[in-house]
Amino acid sequence: MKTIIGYDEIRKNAIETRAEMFEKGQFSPGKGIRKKPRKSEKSALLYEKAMQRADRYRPRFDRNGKLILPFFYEPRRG
Amino acid sequence: MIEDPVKRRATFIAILSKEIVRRGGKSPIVVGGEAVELYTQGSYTTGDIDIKSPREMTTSLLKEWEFIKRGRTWFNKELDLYVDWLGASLDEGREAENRVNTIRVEKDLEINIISIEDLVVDRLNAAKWWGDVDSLMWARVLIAIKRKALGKIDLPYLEKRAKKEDIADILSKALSPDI
Repeated sequence: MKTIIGYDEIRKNAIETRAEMFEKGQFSPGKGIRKKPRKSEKSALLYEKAMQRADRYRPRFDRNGKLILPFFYEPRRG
Repeated sequence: MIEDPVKRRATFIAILSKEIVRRGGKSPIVVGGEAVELYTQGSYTTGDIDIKSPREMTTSLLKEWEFIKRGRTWFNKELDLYVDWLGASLDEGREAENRVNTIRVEKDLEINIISIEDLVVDRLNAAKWWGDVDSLMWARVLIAIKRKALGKIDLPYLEKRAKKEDIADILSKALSPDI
Protein backbone atom coordinates (compact mmCIF):
# COMPACT_ATOMS: atom_id res chain seq x y z
CA MET A 1 0.00 0.00 0.00
CA LYS A 2 1.31 3.43 -0.95
CA THR A 3 2.18 5.90 1.78
CA ILE A 4 0.74 9.27 0.95
CA ILE A 5 2.47 12.27 2.49
CA GLY A 6 0.65 15.58 2.28
CA TYR A 7 2.30 18.77 1.04
CA ASP A 8 1.73 20.51 4.39
CA GLU A 9 3.59 17.74 6.21
CA ILE A 10 6.55 17.87 3.80
CA ARG A 11 6.64 21.66 4.11
CA LYS A 12 6.55 21.52 7.92
CA ASN A 13 9.34 18.93 7.98
CA ALA A 14 11.45 20.99 5.58
CA ILE A 15 11.09 24.12 7.74
CA GLU A 16 12.02 22.19 10.89
CA THR A 17 14.97 20.41 9.28
CA ARG A 18 16.28 23.67 7.84
CA ALA A 19 16.06 25.35 11.26
CA GLU A 20 17.76 22.43 13.05
CA MET A 21 20.57 22.30 10.50
CA PHE A 22 21.00 26.07 10.69
CA GLU A 23 21.30 25.91 14.49
CA LYS A 24 24.01 23.27 14.14
CA GLY A 25 25.84 25.38 11.55
CA GLN A 26 25.16 22.82 8.81
CA PHE A 27 22.96 25.02 6.63
CA SER A 28 23.38 28.50 5.22
CA PRO A 29 20.07 30.13 4.25
CA GLY A 30 21.57 32.43 1.60
CA LYS A 31 21.71 31.38 -2.02
CA GLY A 32 25.49 31.15 -2.01
CA ILE A 33 27.78 31.27 -5.00
CA ARG A 34 27.21 28.99 -7.96
CA LYS A 35 30.56 27.92 -9.40
CA LYS A 36 29.29 25.10 -11.59
CA PRO A 37 28.89 26.41 -15.13
CA ARG A 38 25.40 26.38 -16.58
CA LYS A 39 24.56 25.40 -20.12
CA SER A 40 23.80 28.52 -22.15
CA GLU A 41 20.35 27.09 -22.97
CA LYS A 42 19.54 26.85 -19.27
CA SER A 43 20.71 30.42 -18.61
CA ALA A 44 18.62 31.63 -21.55
CA LEU A 45 15.61 29.77 -20.19
CA LEU A 46 16.00 31.33 -16.72
CA TYR A 47 16.29 34.76 -18.35
CA GLU A 48 13.21 34.13 -20.48
CA LYS A 49 11.16 32.95 -17.51
CA ALA A 50 12.14 36.04 -15.52
CA MET A 51 11.15 38.31 -18.41
CA GLN A 52 7.84 36.52 -18.83
CA ARG A 53 7.11 37.12 -15.17
CA ALA A 54 8.03 40.79 -15.58
CA ASP A 55 5.54 40.95 -18.46
CA ARG A 56 2.82 39.20 -16.49
CA TYR A 57 3.38 41.32 -13.40
CA ARG A 58 4.55 44.52 -15.06
CA PRO A 59 6.24 46.75 -12.49
CA ARG A 60 5.49 50.47 -12.51
CA PHE A 61 5.90 53.61 -10.46
CA ASP A 62 2.71 55.12 -9.07
CA ARG A 63 2.08 58.88 -9.14
CA ASN A 64 3.91 59.26 -5.82
CA GLY A 65 7.02 57.59 -7.21
CA LYS A 66 6.41 54.38 -5.23
CA LEU A 67 7.28 51.14 -6.99
CA ILE A 68 4.33 48.84 -7.55
CA LEU A 69 5.15 45.15 -8.06
CA PRO A 70 1.84 43.50 -9.00
CA PHE A 71 2.90 40.00 -7.90
CA PHE A 72 2.61 41.15 -4.29
CA TYR A 73 -0.98 42.30 -4.86
CA GLU A 74 -2.21 38.85 -5.83
CA PRO A 75 -4.51 37.27 -3.25
CA ARG A 76 -2.51 35.35 -0.67
CA ARG A 77 -3.04 31.83 0.56
CA GLY A 78 -2.49 30.94 4.18
CA MET B 1 1.47 32.34 8.12
CA ILE B 2 1.73 33.47 4.46
CA GLU B 3 2.48 30.33 2.49
CA ASP B 4 4.42 31.85 -0.40
CA PRO B 5 7.95 32.44 0.96
CA VAL B 6 8.59 35.37 -1.41
CA LYS B 7 5.46 37.18 -0.22
CA ARG B 8 6.14 36.18 3.39
CA ARG B 9 9.63 37.71 3.28
CA ALA B 10 8.34 40.89 1.60
CA THR B 11 5.53 41.32 4.10
CA PHE B 12 7.89 40.73 7.00
CA ILE B 13 10.38 43.35 5.73
CA ALA B 14 7.54 45.85 5.32
CA ILE B 15 6.28 45.23 8.88
CA LEU B 16 9.83 45.42 10.27
CA SER B 17 10.39 48.69 8.38
CA LYS B 18 7.13 50.18 9.61
CA GLU B 19 7.96 49.32 13.22
CA ILE B 20 11.52 50.66 13.02
CA VAL B 21 10.22 53.94 11.57
CA ARG B 22 7.46 54.07 14.21
CA ARG B 23 10.16 53.85 16.88
CA GLY B 24 12.06 56.72 15.30
CA GLY B 25 14.64 54.80 13.29
CA LYS B 26 15.65 54.98 9.65
CA SER B 27 13.79 52.57 7.40
CA PRO B 28 15.86 49.48 6.47
CA ILE B 29 17.18 49.12 2.93
CA VAL B 30 16.95 45.73 1.25
CA VAL B 31 20.10 44.69 -0.61
CA GLY B 32 21.67 41.56 -2.14
CA GLY B 33 19.71 38.47 -3.06
CA GLU B 34 16.50 39.63 -1.39
CA ALA B 35 16.59 42.79 -3.53
CA VAL B 36 16.93 40.64 -6.67
CA GLU B 37 14.03 38.49 -5.43
CA LEU B 38 11.84 41.58 -4.99
CA TYR B 39 12.67 43.26 -8.33
CA THR B 40 12.15 39.96 -10.19
CA GLN B 41 8.97 39.30 -8.17
CA GLY B 42 10.18 35.85 -7.20
CA SER B 43 11.85 34.66 -10.41
CA TYR B 44 15.04 34.67 -8.37
CA THR B 45 14.59 33.24 -4.89
CA THR B 46 16.79 33.52 -1.87
CA GLY B 47 16.65 31.99 1.59
CA ASP B 48 17.59 34.97 3.69
CA ILE B 49 16.78 38.66 3.91
CA ASP B 50 19.78 40.96 3.47
CA ILE B 51 19.17 44.35 5.08
CA LYS B 52 20.94 47.53 6.07
CA SER B 53 19.23 49.00 9.10
CA PRO B 54 19.85 50.72 12.45
CA ARG B 55 21.63 48.12 14.53
CA GLU B 56 20.22 48.56 18.03
CA MET B 57 16.65 49.04 16.94
CA THR B 58 16.75 46.08 14.58
CA THR B 59 18.37 43.88 17.21
CA SER B 60 15.86 44.76 19.88
CA LEU B 61 12.89 44.24 17.56
CA LEU B 62 14.10 40.89 16.29
CA LYS B 63 14.65 39.77 19.88
CA GLU B 64 11.12 40.89 20.78
CA TRP B 65 9.82 38.87 17.85
CA GLU B 66 11.68 35.81 19.15
CA PHE B 67 14.41 35.68 16.55
CA ILE B 68 17.61 33.94 17.61
CA LYS B 69 21.06 35.00 16.44
CA ARG B 70 23.59 32.62 14.92
CA GLY B 71 26.67 34.36 13.55
CA ARG B 72 25.38 37.44 11.78
CA THR B 73 22.05 35.82 10.90
CA TRP B 74 18.84 36.09 12.91
CA PHE B 75 16.27 33.36 12.49
CA ASN B 76 12.78 32.50 13.61
CA LYS B 77 11.82 28.87 13.22
CA GLU B 78 8.08 29.45 13.51
CA LEU B 79 8.07 32.10 10.78
CA ASP B 80 10.74 30.30 8.70
CA LEU B 81 12.57 33.58 8.26
CA TYR B 82 16.31 34.29 8.20
CA VAL B 83 17.54 37.88 8.45
CA ASP B 84 21.09 38.84 7.58
CA TRP B 85 21.94 42.23 9.09
CA LEU B 86 24.72 43.70 6.94
CA GLY B 87 25.28 47.08 8.55
CA ALA B 88 23.57 50.38 9.21
CA SER B 89 23.97 52.02 5.80
CA LEU B 90 24.84 51.23 2.21
CA ASP B 91 28.52 50.55 1.53
CA GLU B 92 28.01 52.30 -1.80
CA GLY B 93 27.65 55.66 -0.03
CA ARG B 94 25.39 58.69 0.03
CA GLU B 95 24.65 58.76 -3.70
CA ALA B 96 23.37 55.17 -3.60
CA GLU B 97 21.25 56.01 -0.52
CA ASN B 98 19.64 58.85 -2.48
CA ARG B 99 18.77 56.45 -5.29
CA VAL B 100 16.92 53.98 -3.08
CA ASN B 101 13.43 53.01 -4.34
CA THR B 102 10.36 52.48 -2.20
CA ILE B 103 8.12 49.51 -2.98
CA ARG B 104 4.51 49.74 -1.89
CA VAL B 105 3.66 46.17 -0.88
CA GLU B 106 0.15 47.06 0.21
CA LYS B 107 -1.60 50.02 1.76
CA ASP B 108 0.63 51.43 4.55
CA LEU B 109 3.29 48.77 4.01
CA GLU B 110 6.44 49.84 2.20
CA ILE B 111 9.95 48.56 1.62
CA ASN B 112 13.05 50.57 0.80
CA ILE B 113 15.28 48.83 -1.71
CA ILE B 114 18.65 49.55 -3.30
CA SER B 115 18.38 51.00 -6.82
CA ILE B 116 18.49 48.69 -9.82
CA GLU B 117 21.74 50.31 -11.00
CA ASP B 118 23.49 49.71 -7.67
CA LEU B 119 22.12 46.16 -7.55
CA VAL B 120 23.45 45.51 -11.07
CA VAL B 121 26.91 46.58 -9.87
CA ASP B 122 26.55 44.25 -6.87
CA ARG B 123 25.69 41.31 -9.16
CA LEU B 124 28.52 42.14 -11.57
CA ASN B 125 30.96 42.20 -8.65
CA ALA B 126 29.67 38.75 -7.66
CA ALA B 127 30.15 37.54 -11.23
CA LYS B 128 33.66 38.92 -11.67
CA TRP B 129 35.26 38.65 -8.26
CA TRP B 130 33.41 35.74 -6.62
CA GLY B 131 33.00 33.70 -9.79
CA ASP B 132 29.22 33.34 -9.42
CA VAL B 133 28.11 32.00 -12.78
CA ASP B 134 24.48 33.17 -12.55
CA SER B 135 25.04 36.77 -11.47
CA LEU B 136 25.74 38.18 -14.94
CA MET B 137 22.43 36.75 -16.17
CA TRP B 138 20.54 38.28 -13.20
CA ALA B 139 22.24 41.64 -13.88
CA ARG B 140 20.88 41.39 -17.44
CA VAL B 141 17.41 40.58 -16.12
CA LEU B 142 17.50 43.65 -13.83
CA ILE B 143 18.63 45.91 -16.67
CA ALA B 144 15.89 44.52 -18.94
CA ILE B 145 13.19 45.02 -16.28
CA LYS B 146 14.28 48.61 -15.76
CA ARG B 147 14.37 49.37 -19.48
CA LYS B 148 11.11 47.62 -20.22
CA ALA B 149 8.94 48.92 -17.42
CA LEU B 150 10.63 51.49 -15.22
CA GLY B 151 12.43 53.93 -17.49
CA LYS B 152 15.97 54.39 -18.71
CA ILE B 153 18.95 52.78 -17.07
CA ASP B 154 21.26 55.49 -15.73
CA LEU B 155 24.23 54.57 -17.90
CA PRO B 156 26.60 57.37 -16.81
CA TYR B 157 26.10 56.34 -13.17
CA LEU B 158 26.52 52.63 -13.97
CA GLU B 159 29.69 53.33 -15.94
CA LYS B 160 31.08 55.54 -13.19
CA ARG B 161 30.49 52.84 -10.58
CA ALA B 162 31.78 50.09 -12.88
CA LYS B 163 35.00 52.01 -13.50
CA LYS B 164 35.52 52.50 -9.77
CA GLU B 165 34.90 48.79 -9.07
CA ASP B 166 36.98 47.64 -12.07
CA ILE B 167 34.06 45.81 -13.63
CA ALA B 168 33.65 47.88 -16.82
CA ASP B 169 34.48 44.81 -18.93
CA ILE B 170 31.68 42.73 -17.47
CA LEU B 171 29.26 45.68 -17.51
CA SER B 172 29.58 45.85 -21.29
CA LYS B 173 28.62 42.15 -21.43
CA ALA B 174 25.60 42.83 -19.21
CA LEU B 175 24.47 45.67 -21.48
CA SER B 176 24.85 43.58 -24.62
CA PRO B 177 21.57 42.21 -26.02
CA ASP B 178 23.06 38.72 -26.48
CA ILE B 179 22.51 36.27 -23.65
